[in-house]
Amino acid sequence: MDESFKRLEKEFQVSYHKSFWDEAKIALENDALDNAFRSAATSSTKITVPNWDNQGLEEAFMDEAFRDAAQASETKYQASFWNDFENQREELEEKDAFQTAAQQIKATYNPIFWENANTELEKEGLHYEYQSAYWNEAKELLDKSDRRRFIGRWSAVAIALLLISLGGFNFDGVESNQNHVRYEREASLDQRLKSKNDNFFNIAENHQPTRNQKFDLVGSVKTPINKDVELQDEANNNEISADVFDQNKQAVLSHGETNIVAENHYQEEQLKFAKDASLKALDKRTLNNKRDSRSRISHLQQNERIQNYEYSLLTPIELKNRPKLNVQNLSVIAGFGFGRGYGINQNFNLPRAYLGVDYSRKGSNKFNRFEFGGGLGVKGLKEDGIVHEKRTVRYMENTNALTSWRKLKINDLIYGNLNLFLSFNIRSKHWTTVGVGLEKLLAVRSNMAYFINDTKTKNKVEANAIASDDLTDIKTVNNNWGVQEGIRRNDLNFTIGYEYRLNYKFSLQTKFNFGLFDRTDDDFYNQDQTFNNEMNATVGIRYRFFTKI
Amino acid sequence: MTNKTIGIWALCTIVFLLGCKKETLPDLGESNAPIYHLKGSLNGDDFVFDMEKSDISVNYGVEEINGMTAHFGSMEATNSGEKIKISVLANEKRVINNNFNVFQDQNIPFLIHEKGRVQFDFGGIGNQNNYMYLQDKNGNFVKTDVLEIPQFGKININAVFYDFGNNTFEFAINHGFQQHLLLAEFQVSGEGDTLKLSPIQDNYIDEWYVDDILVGTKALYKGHIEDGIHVIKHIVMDKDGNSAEAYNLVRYKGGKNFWTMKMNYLPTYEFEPYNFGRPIVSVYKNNEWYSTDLSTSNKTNSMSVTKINVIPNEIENKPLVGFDLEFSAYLANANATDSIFVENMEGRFYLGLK
Repeated sequence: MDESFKRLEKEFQVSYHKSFWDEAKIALENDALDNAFRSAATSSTKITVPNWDNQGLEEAFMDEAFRDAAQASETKYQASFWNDFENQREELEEKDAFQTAAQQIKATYNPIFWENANTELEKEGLHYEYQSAYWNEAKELLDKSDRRRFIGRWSAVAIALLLISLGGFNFDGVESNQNHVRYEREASLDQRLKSKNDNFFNIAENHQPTRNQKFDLVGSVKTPINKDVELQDEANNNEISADVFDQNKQAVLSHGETNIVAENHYQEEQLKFAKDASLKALDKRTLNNKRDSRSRISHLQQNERIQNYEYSLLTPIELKNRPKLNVQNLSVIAGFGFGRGYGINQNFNLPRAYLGVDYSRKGSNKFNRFEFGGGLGVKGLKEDGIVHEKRTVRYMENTNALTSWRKLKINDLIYGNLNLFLSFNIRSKHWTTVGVGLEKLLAVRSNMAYFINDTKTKNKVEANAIASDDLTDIKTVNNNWGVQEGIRRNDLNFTIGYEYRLNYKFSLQTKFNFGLFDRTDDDFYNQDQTFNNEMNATVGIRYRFFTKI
Repeated sequence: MTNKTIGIWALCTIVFLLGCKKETLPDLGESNAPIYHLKGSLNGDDFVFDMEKSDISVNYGVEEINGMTAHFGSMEATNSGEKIKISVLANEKRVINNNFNVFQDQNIPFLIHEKGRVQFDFGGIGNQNNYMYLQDKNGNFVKTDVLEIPQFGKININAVFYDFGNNTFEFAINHGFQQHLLLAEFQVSGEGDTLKLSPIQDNYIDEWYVDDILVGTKALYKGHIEDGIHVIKHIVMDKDGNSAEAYNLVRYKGGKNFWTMKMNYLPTYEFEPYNFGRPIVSVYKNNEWYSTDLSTSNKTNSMSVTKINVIPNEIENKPLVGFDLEFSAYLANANATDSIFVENMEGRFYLGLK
């Protein structure tokens, strides 16, 4: 109390006068009140000593009163009091220690922290192996969420503007700086998350954050991706990041740029590693030369902003214990070209077309630059000059010579194809392919004309005349699909090709295909004995409509 | 892909498959080699007639050679104009038991025309020979009773008896085709103005004609006849339809038979009297015909025929007979100024039967 009065005296700058105390004494001398206190103190009611919370006790103005009360009252000590205190001693000391430590400790982040944390997380089962499906699901959610947010946001703006225009509101409301920044931050995140540009670090697509992950760029997604993760809450992540990093480092996402203020050795190491990684990558677009990278590092040290780090990691960096990627694709392929004729026209100018589906599987480990698979499809061939003519004369005993003939011209051939192929990634988007396949003749379109001379026909001829062709009995069948004679039914073919992958969906293909066997019966088609194997060159596209990892 | 989409695709596929024309390649049958062909040498040059050649035309049937029925078959190369024809004189009985009887033997001598000389005999009655005039090849009537026949065949004769009048009496005689199997000759007798006719061979179908008028169909004929010269013709037929005929002249005067003409061969020429079923080969070359019947060098030559096969050819109603043949022969032109030698001609040929 005295101290309090002294404090008050200082504050109010009032000189103490004895009369003050006399007046206070008079006020305090209250017999009734005194009696009440005495009777309360002598009553049989026991007062339990409460658990004192240390906090605020110093500021308690009732210390003196409680001391007096403590002196006047009697409280029996119980052993449980000490036990309770012992039970809470550790916690009390811990809290106290944490507080003290938090005030004193300056932690420096080291990547090994992550390793250790990672180890602990794995032990506890909190570390989720990254899978692309998570990212895809998250993207879906994001897209939906973004869509909802986008629609909601801009609907609100539109309504507001409408109201302004209709109601004459003088809108002066600008979102607070913080909100504006947050929206832009989210917008930039949208762009980054939706971006297919491999120029951004997208660990989700190219890496799995393993214990061997040497770096973790600020602002990237480093937490396990699952449905519960709200990736757009980057601000929280930043705050978490800030907790981990040195307090001197600040990572702020704004306008899609990564501003890194480097003030210590860790940042330099991180960027150096990233630079090394990009140099290992095949894509040389980034960091044109080491000089640039070094200058950037120096800029970091000078607290400069680094814009648009472009790291392309199209080819995954080889990391120890890197997990196997099992990429499987189903694709539709189609193309057209030209091939060699089988008949009179042996030029390489007859149309070819193909359509099919194929399955491919990417190799793993040291075979990760290979793809192998198989396909099924149909091929169409237009021909010109495959002509069959046959004439028979049956000499009769009655001296008649019955002449019959037929003429056949092949127009189109349709083959079914079953093939196996092996593709090799030369570099980046360039692939080469070799394949072998079986082709089976499915259909043949032809034009046919014939005349069959028999005794019935002969009756139409005048007596004593030699049997002659009756023109009314000549049959013509165009666009006929019923004749496949003289065409080889099965063939074995080989393919050499080149593929340029525009993206993970579309590819451009060019192929050269040649068959092993002679496709025409030269005797049947009245040809010279030539080897008419299939040879063609085509260009086409490939569309991967299903991918599984 | 929904069930509806699958159904649509399946329906389109079915329509496509059903709607497409699917006619298979027609079977033309197998070619065969020509059945009829001839090859040999003609004066040392290859002489081939092959129906595989596109310009070969074929003909066959029945013809008359000097009034006698003959089966023939021919091939003509229309491009070159060459022809070959084989004729076989019909046998005395062409049909035996409903079967065509074309060849009497496997080796058949060629028919070679030979001359003959006949004299008409009236028995010295009334010097009828002095009043007989016969028409020659120029159409002139010449007073003679001897007739020289140049070739085998059926000879039509026109005669006038000027003591009787100016009427021409026409009759025929067969030279080189003496009847052995089907005899149409007959006997003439009479009592008063009754004419009696009787065949020398019975069991046939008989037809009696007096002056081209059918007067009887029985074996024996007996009937009134007026005075004058009459031409009597007798036709006999057997059950297979084979027929033969014979002619004669008779004169009735004063109501009774005055004379019956007889024909006798004079010994001037020797000839083959029976030429039924003999072949004649003719080749048309150098714009004229050459044939074996005009060359006496073929007296020792014959044609070998085997594998005789009758083809009914009912659809066209033109039956024919096919046979393998082989021969060598001389062929002479009509003027006897040129000849060709066909050697080792062989092959398969055909003859018409109707």
